[in-house]
Amino acid sequence: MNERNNLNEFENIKDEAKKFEKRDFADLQNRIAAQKEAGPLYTPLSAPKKSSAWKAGLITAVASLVLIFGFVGMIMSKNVRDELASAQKPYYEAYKAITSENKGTVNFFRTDTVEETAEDASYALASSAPEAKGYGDYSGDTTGNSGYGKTNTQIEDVDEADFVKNDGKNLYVLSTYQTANREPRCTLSIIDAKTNELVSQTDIEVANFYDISEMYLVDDKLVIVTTLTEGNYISDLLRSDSLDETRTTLRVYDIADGGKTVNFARDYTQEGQYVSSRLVGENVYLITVKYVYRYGSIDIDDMPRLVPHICVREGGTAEAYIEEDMVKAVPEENIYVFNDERASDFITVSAFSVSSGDYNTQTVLAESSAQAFSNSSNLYTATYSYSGEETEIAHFEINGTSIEHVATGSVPGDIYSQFSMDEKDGNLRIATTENNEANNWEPVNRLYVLDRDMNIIGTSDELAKGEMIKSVRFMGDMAYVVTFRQTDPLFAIDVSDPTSPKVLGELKIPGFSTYMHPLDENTLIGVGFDADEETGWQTGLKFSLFDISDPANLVEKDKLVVSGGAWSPATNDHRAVTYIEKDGLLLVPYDFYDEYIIIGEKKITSQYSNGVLVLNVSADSGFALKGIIVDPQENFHMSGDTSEQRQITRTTYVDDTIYTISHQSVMSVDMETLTLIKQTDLYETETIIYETPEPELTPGPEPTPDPNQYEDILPFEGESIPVG
Amino acid sequence: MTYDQLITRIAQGDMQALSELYDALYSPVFALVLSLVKNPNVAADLTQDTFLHVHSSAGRFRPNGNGSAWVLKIARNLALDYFRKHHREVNDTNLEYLASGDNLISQAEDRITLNDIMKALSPEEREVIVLKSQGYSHREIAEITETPEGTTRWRYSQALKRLRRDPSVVGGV
Repeated sequence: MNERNNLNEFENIKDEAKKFEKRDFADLQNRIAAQKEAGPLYTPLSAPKKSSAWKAGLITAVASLVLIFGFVGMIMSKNVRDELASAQKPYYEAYKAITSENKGTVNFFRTDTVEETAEDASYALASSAPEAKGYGDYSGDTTGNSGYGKTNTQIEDVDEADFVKNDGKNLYVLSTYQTANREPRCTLSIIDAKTNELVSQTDIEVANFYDISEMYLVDDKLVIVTTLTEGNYISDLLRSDSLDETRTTLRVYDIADGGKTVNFARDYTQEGQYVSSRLVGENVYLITVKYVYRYGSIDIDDMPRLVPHICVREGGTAEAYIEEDMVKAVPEENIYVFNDERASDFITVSAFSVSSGDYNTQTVLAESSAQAFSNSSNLYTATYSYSGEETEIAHFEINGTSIEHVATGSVPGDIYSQFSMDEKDGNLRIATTENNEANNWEPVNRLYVLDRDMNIIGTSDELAKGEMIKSVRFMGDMAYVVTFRQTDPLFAIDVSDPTSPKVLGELKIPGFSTYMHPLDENTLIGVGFDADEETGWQTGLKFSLFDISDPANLVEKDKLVVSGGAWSPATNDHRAVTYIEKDGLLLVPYDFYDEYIIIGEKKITSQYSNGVLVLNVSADSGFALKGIIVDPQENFHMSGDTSEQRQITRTTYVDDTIYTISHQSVMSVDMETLTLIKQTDLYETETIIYETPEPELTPGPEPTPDPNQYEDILPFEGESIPVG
Repeated sequence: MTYDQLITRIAQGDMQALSELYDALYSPVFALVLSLVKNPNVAADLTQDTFLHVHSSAGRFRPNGNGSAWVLKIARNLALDYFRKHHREVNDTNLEYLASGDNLISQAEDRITLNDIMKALSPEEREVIVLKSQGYSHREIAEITETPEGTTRWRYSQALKRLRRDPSVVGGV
């Protein structure tokens, strides 16, 4: 499965490229010197202020002397005086942590990674609500008892944001795309679920095409989560070179008239980039990370602007100006520091009531971004510290709009995704992989249990040394873990005793699952990749049916392999999977990039298509291909940059109609016959001008050069690109 | 030091860090840009421009473990921008003539060369092959080229087929 092995054919090209004469670095230096606009970005770091324990002791001693003698203050050194003065100022603790010298050596880029670790694109939830039906807290059915599809979440009763929502009457699609000039656009389309006709469309402001925009449906309200960077009213008010201008906004819209009317009601803005969110009841829990950029030294007086800020607005319009008095800094007492070495960035978690606009925030200082896990009463942020090679976990208790930081702890290793975490009876269960130079890049996997105060109370044995965790699923008192190097062991771990997690069984099969879905309490579906047993190279998609009724004897009851050039967004985003319990159907979007694809025993001509695999699945009879739904636009890959917009990544259903959804197009399909009923395009495709370079072709119209089109990476407005 | 760290230091004015980054990534940047604009002189100019922009916008980089992908994205955007402004002037340059060093075309070996890909492939396919040659995974290539992973895999397999089928290409079937 190591794609990097497959280089031999092109190593030549890499070598050839090296043979071209390389321009001297000195040339670059000269050009930089010539650039007069260097400005404050290039101020070197001044000597950092020293802050250490012995100084704190000295301050206390001297302060006592001041009280006793009364005149000693006049002969104190300036440094100590400054330190005393700083200690009175707001956010002093956070300031000390951020500016502390002993930041660990950060090793973000793991160049020696042997495996291509699948990314954690999704957010897992675990609910410990005792009344939740099913095994653990997940019934396996995306639809619940209703006749329509809902987002495939990790935990029932805790919703996850997505760009598609369905309430059985209307479909809601939040399309993010870019125009031919790479301007970002975001459009909310409301579609009648019975007729697949557009009911209304509303433009939503977004900063970048690649930032996530997704939403929640809460009764008759839509909450849209977007990231914004430009025209940031908050940072205009608080401008400083050390500020990241990004903020994340929850915009609440009232939906009326069957979806025809979409009215802005209120919004909640929190500084930082969007990490994750959850919905419990009518409260949204939002997590962002505000990076602190160190362009120069940070002063204690910078802190009130540096800490995250919040703004809530009632009524008016989404584009209305933010007044200064609306913006509030997170209070000092709500900022927690766990470890000075890792205190670089602000991770803010807030609870926001969609109906009232009430909110509360908590912030922890951590090293870079986080993943999140939540159920209806406990929320955890997990940050991987490259310096410590461990995951720092902050535990928050949530209840409506109340949120309290309880404790922060850490476990060795890194987590694969939100599915790596689960909470039960107040304890956090977490499966990690340690893969670092210290153990010679031989990964070690373990499952840990932490108590409410984030102390480790239980550790499992090592699992599959030399392999990496590819997927995890908790079901009540059991945890199922898939690791992989060349073959895929599925481990069944008993976590009923928090102090002693035990591996009960192991099953070794080729390929590996990147997502596991409970079908019922005895059956687990695995979605992932097939692989060559000897080399580990991926050879296609694979669906597995595991009998987990006896953990000591795990059995792969059935499998369906899609071999050839096949991929699915379901392999890294659980929301792409739809399981319809009442019909025993599994819907999985696919991408075929080979002319012939073999599904099970059928060979089909794929026409390089994008569509949905529809599988019959049952615990007794396993998998059967019912059929495939194809986006009729032929050779859609050929459209180059527009392909992403038409790539089907979601499905849902209402009664007996299946819906396939891409950012650009919604198809309604008959569930029984799989024939297309109607296809609705949500916006026009603009042809991307950059297509073929062959000079023989008649060139198209001269594209209008837009110097601002890469504004996120080009800092100078109107700059022309010098070509020497 | 990692790419993320280097970029963070560049934001703080560290020219040594920029020099290290330049040494480490010059070749992948150059190769990527060359695959798009085809002209080695232009590619060398744009490569320098890339590092100029890295230097001036390093402060906006958000450490995420993907420092080299960020640099390559800048390079790619500059190349695309150049291409859009000047596409009439891009011509099929004979790379063998311009590159220094030994004979690049190894006729006897079953290996694919730069010239091969320049002749046979579309720019989307070329950039995938070049990035693959530099050791990037499909996931990383998807990020750098801002296309879905399925699309980059498809382009890769198409490119391979095209290179193997074309009888004028070395090693073609």
